[in-house]
Amino acid sequence: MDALTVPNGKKGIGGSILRNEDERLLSGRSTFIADISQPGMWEIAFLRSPVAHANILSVTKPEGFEQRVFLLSDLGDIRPIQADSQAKGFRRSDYPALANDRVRFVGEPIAICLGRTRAEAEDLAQAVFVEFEELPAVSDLSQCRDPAYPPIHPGWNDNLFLETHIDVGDVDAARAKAAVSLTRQYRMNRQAIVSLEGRGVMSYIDERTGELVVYSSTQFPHVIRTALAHCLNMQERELRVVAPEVGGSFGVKNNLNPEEIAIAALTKKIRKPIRWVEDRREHLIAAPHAREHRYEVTVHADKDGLILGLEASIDVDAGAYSVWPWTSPMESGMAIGFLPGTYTISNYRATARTCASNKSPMGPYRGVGRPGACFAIERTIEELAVHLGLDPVEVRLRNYVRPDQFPWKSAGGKTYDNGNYAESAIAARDLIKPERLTELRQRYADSDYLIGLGYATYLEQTAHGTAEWVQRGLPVVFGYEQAALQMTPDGMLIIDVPIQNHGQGLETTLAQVANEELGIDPAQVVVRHGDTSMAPYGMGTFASRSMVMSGGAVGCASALLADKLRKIGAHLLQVQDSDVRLEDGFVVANASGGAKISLKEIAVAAFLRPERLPDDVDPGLSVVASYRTSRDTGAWSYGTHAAIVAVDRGTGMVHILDYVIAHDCGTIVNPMIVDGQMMGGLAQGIGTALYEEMPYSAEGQPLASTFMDYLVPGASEMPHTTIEHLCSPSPITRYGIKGMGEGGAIPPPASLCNAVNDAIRSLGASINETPMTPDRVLRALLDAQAGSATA
Amino acid sequence: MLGFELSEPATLDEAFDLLADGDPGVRPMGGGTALMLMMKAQIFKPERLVSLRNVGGCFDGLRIDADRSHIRIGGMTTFAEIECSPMVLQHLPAVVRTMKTLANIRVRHVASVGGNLAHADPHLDLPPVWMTHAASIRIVSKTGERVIPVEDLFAGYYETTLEGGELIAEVIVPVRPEWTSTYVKVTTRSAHDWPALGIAVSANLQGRRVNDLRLVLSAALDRPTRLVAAENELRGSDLDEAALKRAGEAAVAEVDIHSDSRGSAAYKQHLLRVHLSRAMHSLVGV
Ligand SMILES: Cc1cc2nc3c(=O)[nH]c(=O)nc-3n(C[C@H](O)[C@H](O)[C@H](O)COP(=O)(O)OP(=O)(O)OC[C@H]3O[C@@H](n4cnc5c(N)ncnc54)[C@H](O)[C@@H]3O)c2cc1C
Repeated sequence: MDALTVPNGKKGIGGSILRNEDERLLSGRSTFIADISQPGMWEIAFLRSPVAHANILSVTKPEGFEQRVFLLSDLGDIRPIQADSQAKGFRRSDYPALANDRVRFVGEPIAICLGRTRAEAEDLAQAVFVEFEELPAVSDLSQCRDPAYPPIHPGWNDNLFLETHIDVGDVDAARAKAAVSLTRQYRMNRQAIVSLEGRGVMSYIDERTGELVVYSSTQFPHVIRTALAHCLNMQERELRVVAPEVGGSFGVKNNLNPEEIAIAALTKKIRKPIRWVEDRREHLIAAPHAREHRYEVTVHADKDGLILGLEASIDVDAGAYSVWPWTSPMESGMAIGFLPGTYTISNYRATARTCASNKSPMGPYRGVGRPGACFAIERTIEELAVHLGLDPVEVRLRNYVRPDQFPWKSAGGKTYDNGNYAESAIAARDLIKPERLTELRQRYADSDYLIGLGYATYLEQTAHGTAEWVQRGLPVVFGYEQAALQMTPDGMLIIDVPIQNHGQGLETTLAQVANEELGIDPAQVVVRHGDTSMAPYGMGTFASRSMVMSGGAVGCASALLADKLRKIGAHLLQVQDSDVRLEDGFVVANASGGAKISLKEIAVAAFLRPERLPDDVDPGLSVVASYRTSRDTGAWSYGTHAAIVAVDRGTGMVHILDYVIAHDCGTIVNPMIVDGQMMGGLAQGIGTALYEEMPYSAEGQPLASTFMDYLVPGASEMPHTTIEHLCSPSPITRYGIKGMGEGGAIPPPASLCNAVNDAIRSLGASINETPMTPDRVLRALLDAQAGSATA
Repeated sequence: MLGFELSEPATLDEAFDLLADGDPGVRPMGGGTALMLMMKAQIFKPERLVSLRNVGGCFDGLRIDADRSHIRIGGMTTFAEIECSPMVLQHLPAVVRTMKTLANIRVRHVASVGGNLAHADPHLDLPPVWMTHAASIRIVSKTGERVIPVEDLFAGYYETTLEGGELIAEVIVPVRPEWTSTYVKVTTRSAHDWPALGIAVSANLQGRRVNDLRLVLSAALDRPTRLVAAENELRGSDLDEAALKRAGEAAVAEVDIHSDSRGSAAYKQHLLRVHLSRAMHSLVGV
């Protein structure tokens, strides 16, 4: 990556400071679930279903070990996961903590086995005998409404969770007027969600507080506490949920897991500490999966490439159960809502189907729904440009929502806050330098390499508030965040937040926000998170929300605290409240050469020497504040990616020669961290585009259960990348911040697929499926050859 | 996982005794890198592992014969020792190049040449390289010893012709100054992936003319296999596009490639044509 951002001396918002949390992480000293134990703790292995779809006729526990194997019936009166969408026509699927009478995907937990070591527990799991009556497995989207496959949930008549429709404007008129109507089909295949650390839970009873303590590698401890209380019939106060250091999650730890319920219920029952540390095989097959979208898109346009209307049919395979709290239609709902993208499309007709299958349930993964939607629309735009013989950037420029059109109400039902999409496309074009293509093509003319260039523009709705979640019909509405600030008597600041930091650098960026309001050195700020006993209630980290939401809450709380600090400081300096400011750890009198007093001295007064306080100021320096955005439809980041690739026509291998990103996430709190997030997202986007796939056999067996078969990109697959930051501050958030954690992962499938198609087009070939494995690319080339031979 | 015994005999005779009882749960151990993976996956449940790390003798180290005709590599020699040996670099440069993309530095510091061969996983990189160099192995047992060409070791997928109690003592590689060799690890997805195909080629060339050659295909078949028909197409002919095309077709026709997660059979056949030709070109330096 080009080093665009180096430490710039700023410590507050906009400063590229090093991360507060890195020391413990880089030295390997921090503690993840696998590092945390309790005296007398038992290790758990789950007995998981080896078959995709079957009735369980009987389960026999190994003789002599009956007390160490637990089935659903042993866990007492607990509720299944019920992730019910409010959408009309939604069909529900109860997801039990342990499968009882039926299993619906390979990897579904059936029993908990306890051992002194994990190995012992695994041996025990192998000795449990389960009698299955196998049923036909739904393993492909095409089988969703095929009567040959019985419904996988009771009371259903086919395997459809939900079908939704959008019909705005007048698509028929658009079609009639159009100079060109193009139809294309796209597939984005199923993926696993690979975090370095798998999921894991450790729980025990704290007799002193009377709490069932659940350590879970999760993104949202407070929400898990609410959910567990519901499923276990407990008061929230009887539960404490702690997310310790979380080794990556990307959405896969953003669900209520059946394992969490089962483990908590078992601890409650046997009152012994127990721990489950997911292994890689479990993670790949039994943790929630992502993507698996199919599209048929028709675009209607005039002869200059102006889009007049859009039609789409979208199918998503959501797997066996609806995950809580997102619900199974989340993916298809995002896909249908985001398909119009950055374009002024006002005639839009689409259908989105959420299908059930005997596969691991579909959950959120960095980008959620949008990588698929972006793939479909950005491929289509590029196809339209090619068809009309126009430059793909020019066609985009003709169709982008213009800066004067915001707030823009999209045909997908979203409200975009602001931006300058054209600026990002032009910046990306300037960085990638399309004029290089001629020279590159000449250079490789005598080789097997075909050179291509592709673009993709994306939108990333972030920090969406109440309106968005209500519109989506979710059981929980994530509209706000809280933060609790307390200064210590020695003048340091402790910030307790209910969001989670699992790699995003939030311990640093929230400290930078505090610096902005309080002038306190970020090194003097400690951000604590992930513990329901420490922070006030809040929603956790996901959907690129924490910088905006938690940053907003920390900002609000800091501003309140700043008032008090200024008041005390002014009193101690014997000047008017209005005559002081906070700067570099001091309250400073505005008068030239003004006196100053340190935050530490103020803290001493506030806590230890209250006699020094003004009469109208109470002792103590702590504040809880809550924050929500001024409009709750989300802050919209966006950007344009461009890639140059070389396709080896001999092998179908795709090499990325150059990659550029021009993006806008509003006000940037820490440019270095934003670069890191972009690169991480890009790596995962490249995984989707070229490598990662979770195929299933016709029997519903997952075919990639180790890293030998499931391929994630490594350092050697990362291209040279240049990032340019644009900045349109959001009009609806404190400081104008927009979230940006997912954006990097959204457009790479589209940009790379466009580039590959640009490369192979001269041979009459095309590819519209991810991952673009060499096998698929080569097949596209050979098919084209065969086609032209017979033509 | 159930318990097992790990013994580290100090002599070869002791090792033979510990291995004697013919139980499938009793096995010799080189670096243990392959065994550990099989044990973790519970494909192999050992009763006793007999480590060869202390048996010494010809199992250790690298040497060249006095007449400089053969290099002998002990069965317990690690990949890292080979990779760093100036002698191997001088006489068998293709072996050193192969190491650069073989596993990782940690594995290369413990994995042994003997264990690598005896594992008989068709995806491994070194066996085809030994074969293309016309190497043999010396096998020892309590009752005697025998020397066989490397290709005669492999009986199938993870299967060898080793009899119970036999150990691979050394690999014997002829020094062939007139030959050049190369190995292509064809990963179809990313650099660190298992190969879909391994192609090891070695030839005695005079300009573009092929006096003699050895072609070996691995990974796509149940064992590394010489491509005899393809060799025959090229032996004695000039390396031109027509000859390479014929050789590619002959290669595809003489072996039975199956589909797997690294590619369909048709795709791998295509790769065989393409990479065989590219590998031969690389020998001439074109
Ligand atoms: C992370 C990782 C990455 C890898 N990547 C690659 C790669 O890129 N390319 C590649 O080619 N390989 C790769 N491998 C495989 C590696 O090459 C083998 O695991 C290794 O060569 C086996 O050697 P070992 O000495 O550890 O064998 P061991 O595990 O000790 O033994 C393997 C088998 O050989 C038997 N055995 C051992 N020594 C002898 C002997 N002297 N005589 C008879 N039988 C014996 C054992 O009983 C066992 O059956 C990788 C392995 C790992 C763990």
